[in-house]
Amino acid sequence: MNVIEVKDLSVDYGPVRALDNINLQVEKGEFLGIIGPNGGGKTTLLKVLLGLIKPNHGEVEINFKKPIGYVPQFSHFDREFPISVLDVILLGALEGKIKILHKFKKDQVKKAEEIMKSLGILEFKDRQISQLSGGQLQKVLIARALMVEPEVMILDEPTASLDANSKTEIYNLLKLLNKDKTILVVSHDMGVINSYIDTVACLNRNLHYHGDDTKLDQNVLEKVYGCPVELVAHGPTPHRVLKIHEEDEK
Amino acid sequence: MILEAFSYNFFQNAFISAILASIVCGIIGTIIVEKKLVMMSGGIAHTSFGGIGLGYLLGFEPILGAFGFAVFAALSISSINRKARTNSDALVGIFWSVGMALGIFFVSLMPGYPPDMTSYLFGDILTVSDFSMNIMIIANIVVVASVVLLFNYWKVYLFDEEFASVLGIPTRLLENFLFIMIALTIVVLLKVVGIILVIALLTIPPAIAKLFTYDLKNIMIISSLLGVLFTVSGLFISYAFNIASGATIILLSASAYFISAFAKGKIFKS
Repeated sequence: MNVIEVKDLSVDYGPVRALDNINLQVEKGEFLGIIGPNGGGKTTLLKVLLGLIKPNHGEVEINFKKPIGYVPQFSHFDREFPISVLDVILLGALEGKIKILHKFKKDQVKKAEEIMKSLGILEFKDRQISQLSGGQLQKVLIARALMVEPEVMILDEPTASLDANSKTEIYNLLKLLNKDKTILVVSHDMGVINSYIDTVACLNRNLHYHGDDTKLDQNVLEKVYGCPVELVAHGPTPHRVLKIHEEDEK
Repeated sequence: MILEAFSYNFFQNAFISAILASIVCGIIGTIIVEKKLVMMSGGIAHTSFGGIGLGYLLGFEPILGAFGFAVFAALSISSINRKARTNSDALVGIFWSVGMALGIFFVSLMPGYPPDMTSYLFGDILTVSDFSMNIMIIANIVVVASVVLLFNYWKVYLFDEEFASVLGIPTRLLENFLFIMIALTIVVLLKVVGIILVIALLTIPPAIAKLFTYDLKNIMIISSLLGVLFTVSGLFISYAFNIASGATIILLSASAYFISAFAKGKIFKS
């Protein structure tokens, strides 16, 4: 069953087309890595899936219980914001419908503490978020997303600017969560991501996607990685030129 | 002398309005500092000058004009921003100076001597009218009630607006409501410290509070209490020595900030 189905999606920012005619299916239980160069539309696609940007053309079909467990880029946060770790995580338990004088219930606090315990961040419970390392803050944001009890999680660059150990730790954690959740990760950490994901979507305005039937073996991976790796490389490489030709021929 | 002052109606008004202004100021000031809306609020404050001028020209209460212009500026800046993806910094600057220009323009269209508008620019807490007092009471009810009743939603909106939207929380509604509250707060502060000095009274108390706590609710409460301290002592100094109230309050607040920042630095370094 497809939990997400993107059909003929295009997004324009003024005269600039950020995403062009994207078709993408995400299967239930899939661990999808969305990779591609900076400015390739990864974040735009993610925001469309989250419902934060309305597409100019096409549609997104969502076949799961909302909300999505969203984990934004932690490096974009105002770390000085006056909020404690427990409070950040509890906010994930808020529902869309506004309730006057809303208070978090005892069992929600208990649940938050259990999640923190399982992620190994319970000891930071009362800390202000500026007193955390990057990896710890990332876990706090994952914990917040888990409070939503999501069927689908979307993570934006979850390992950017983390050290190698923290990267592995975060991906091991995601692999574990993948047992009962569909996970989409936007990343340019291709070296780490490839040993965890099931499928990969290469995005650079257009989509180079290897769908549900292609579980990644090393050869496919090489092939698929060929495109974004080359595209990220400095200057036009022969490979890149070839890629553009292929598209022109369509 | 001070007790004697309380027997005057104007002084009672001044005293009550100092307290009322401080409460909204502490709450909204904390929000604009955390949401990085300080310049935006400065723009809204200055745009309201146009409304004051229009009020004088057409003969209605200038405070109402100020509120209208402030709301208009706040909502236009945010909606143009969203649609055009322009740099809001420049946009705020345009509203800022056009508002001031309109104020002067409207007043110069008036026949005869132009009214004295310095009390709106620099504040004069000793001349707060009953009408302004009523507006202050309304502003306090609106701001305190909405922040208390919707506290967790404000918290998630301020901390991570995108995440709030993904949860399905109506962030656009919260944003528009926030801008209306900012406009209301600025209008309340006009008579106390004036358009030009508003930003200092909004930002200094939270800046001091943040030195001592990292809990959003406590920052709001401490900011409000500090505001009361500064405005009330400013009021007495202003009354006793016949110095302009706005300037007195701001200079007191700024000195308190530097002293506490310095003291905190000293304590934590040693």
